[in-house]
Amino acid sequence: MDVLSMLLQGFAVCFTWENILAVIIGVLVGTLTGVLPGIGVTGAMALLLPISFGMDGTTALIMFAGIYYGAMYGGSTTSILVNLPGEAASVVTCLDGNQMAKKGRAGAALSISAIGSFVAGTFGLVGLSFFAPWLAKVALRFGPPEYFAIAILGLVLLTNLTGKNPLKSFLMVLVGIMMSTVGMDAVTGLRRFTFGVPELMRGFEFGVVAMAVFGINELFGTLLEPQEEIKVGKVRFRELYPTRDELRRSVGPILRGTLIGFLIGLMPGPAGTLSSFSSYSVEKKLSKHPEKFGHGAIEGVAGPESANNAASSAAMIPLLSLGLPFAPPAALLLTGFIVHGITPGPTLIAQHPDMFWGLVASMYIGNVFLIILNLPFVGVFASMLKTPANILMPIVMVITFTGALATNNSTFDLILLLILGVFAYFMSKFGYSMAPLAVGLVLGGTIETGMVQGLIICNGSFIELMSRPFAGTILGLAMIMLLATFAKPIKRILVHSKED
Amino acid sequence: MGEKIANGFLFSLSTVYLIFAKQLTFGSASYPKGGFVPQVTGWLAVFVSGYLFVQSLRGKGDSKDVKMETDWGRLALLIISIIIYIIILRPVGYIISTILVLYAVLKIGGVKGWKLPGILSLCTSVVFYLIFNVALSVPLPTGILG
Repeated sequence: MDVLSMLLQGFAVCFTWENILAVIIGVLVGTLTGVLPGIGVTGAMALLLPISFGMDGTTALIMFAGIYYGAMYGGSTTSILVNLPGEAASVVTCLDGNQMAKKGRAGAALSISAIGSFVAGTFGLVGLSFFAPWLAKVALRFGPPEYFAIAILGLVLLTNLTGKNPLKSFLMVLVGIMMSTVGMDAVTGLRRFTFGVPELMRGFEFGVVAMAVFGINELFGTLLEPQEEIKVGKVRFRELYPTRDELRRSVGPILRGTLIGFLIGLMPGPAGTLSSFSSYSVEKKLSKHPEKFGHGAIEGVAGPESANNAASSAAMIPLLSLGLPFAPPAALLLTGFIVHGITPGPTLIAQHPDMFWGLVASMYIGNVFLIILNLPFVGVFASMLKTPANILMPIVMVITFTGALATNNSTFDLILLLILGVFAYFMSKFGYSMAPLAVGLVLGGTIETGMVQGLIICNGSFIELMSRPFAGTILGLAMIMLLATFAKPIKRILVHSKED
Repeated sequence: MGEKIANGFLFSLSTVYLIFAKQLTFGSASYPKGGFVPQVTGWLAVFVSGYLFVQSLRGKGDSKDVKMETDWGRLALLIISIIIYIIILRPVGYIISTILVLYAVLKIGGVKGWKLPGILSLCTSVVFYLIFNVALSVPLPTGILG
């Protein structure tokens, strides 16, 4: 069957009241997550993971995906109205979006942002619908060495693209891999780093780790540090119309942002943030009036907001077709799949077409819901910002602890939640990003299994492994990038040893 | 100072991990055993964290201008509240222990008076108990109420 008929089948799967409700809950929670600065998208997904245990697998995944792409929409609202990005991907929208608001054009900025997000999200989904099945077919020929190579390249790219200091990101990747080795070794059955603690036998539960490093970390940050008082301006429905000139100027940035976002979304790393910054700099370079950027240029809102939405659709492709998550929200989606007994990868589309196409169709529907939600109710979402953080965050804390308890009904998970939350809070203060740790934890197992099984296939020879065309090329690329990352510190050490 | 402690902690963590990883069978590069990945990862982590630690000791860290605006007293109270919550959760039960911890955290967060935090704690605990235990069939400790 072709893509279109499969997609129609997906819509049939999606049009049940449970699934439509899951789309609505997902995009609503996502929008709120984007609006409220204290709660990140990964934290919100981790919190809702235990709630999904009793749901049907497709329904649960539809809800999680809704949170992910919904957050990209919500993030722009606070960037434009109060100069406060709800999500990192919306930081760049503050530059011109808030300036437009100060000039009385908040409504136009919000509507262009919503239109751009809708167009880019839909184009991204068309790309996902066609590209993911193709990639999955190609990936059927992949063996453990290829998966090992892709996972290594993914982590190296993530190291270079996350945070200010690649060495710190690399160290967090290593900490994630170290955590993935705790428990029963999947290949040899050996118990590692369990120290006689039965709870450590099953290893670190990703959902609990995500709740700690993204949820508890944010809770501490919000409760313990001074918060600025937020004043939210009112936006009336009739003010949402952009002028004809604003619409004309936005078409190019929206299309370019879509393309940039889609391509960056395929890469590991903070795709939403990178794509929005890349789009902004492209628009500024292409503009005849670059001096207007930072002073309320509509192009500076249209491009980045389109880019981060296209990126969120594209980021699903490696997860759904290869089973490899390259960003923390995708890693949580992977956990959602696994919890419901499904392993995403090249066989997902063939073995569970209803789930795959149902999920894709739900994203089309979710995009329509988001534009309906975000335009007329923008004022309502913005007013949520008035909820005091010192009331909201303790309630979020209770959901987090209840969720962690519900995961395995284990007090040990609560202790882990506290320890890892405190660890993440302090490490984040000193430039250590938690995203590489989370992805390292998830991909650590793929790396180890891929390498060990790959070496068995290749008769124990690394040279034979490297001589496989795809695996060799990818690993070679990863090595070059890793050496480039380490070149500076190695040079420093050599210079110091010569001086001594 | 803070960055030195953070980098020093990661260096110590990597070293301890490597010491335990060394107790696992390494195998060989051709036929890796259960200790291969832990030892390679451990060595890399010791090298990277050691380098970052030395850099911060030399005053060349990249977070020199980080100001810790954390209220240490409130942080300690928050952690103590959570520890007490974890300890009393099973013997006392979900509803009562959640009311107590939520009230404490709301007060630590600076919510004034006793009515608002009291009502919020009570309602939140009962609502979450109903959502998780009744609607989603997730077993939560009943404690003295059971």
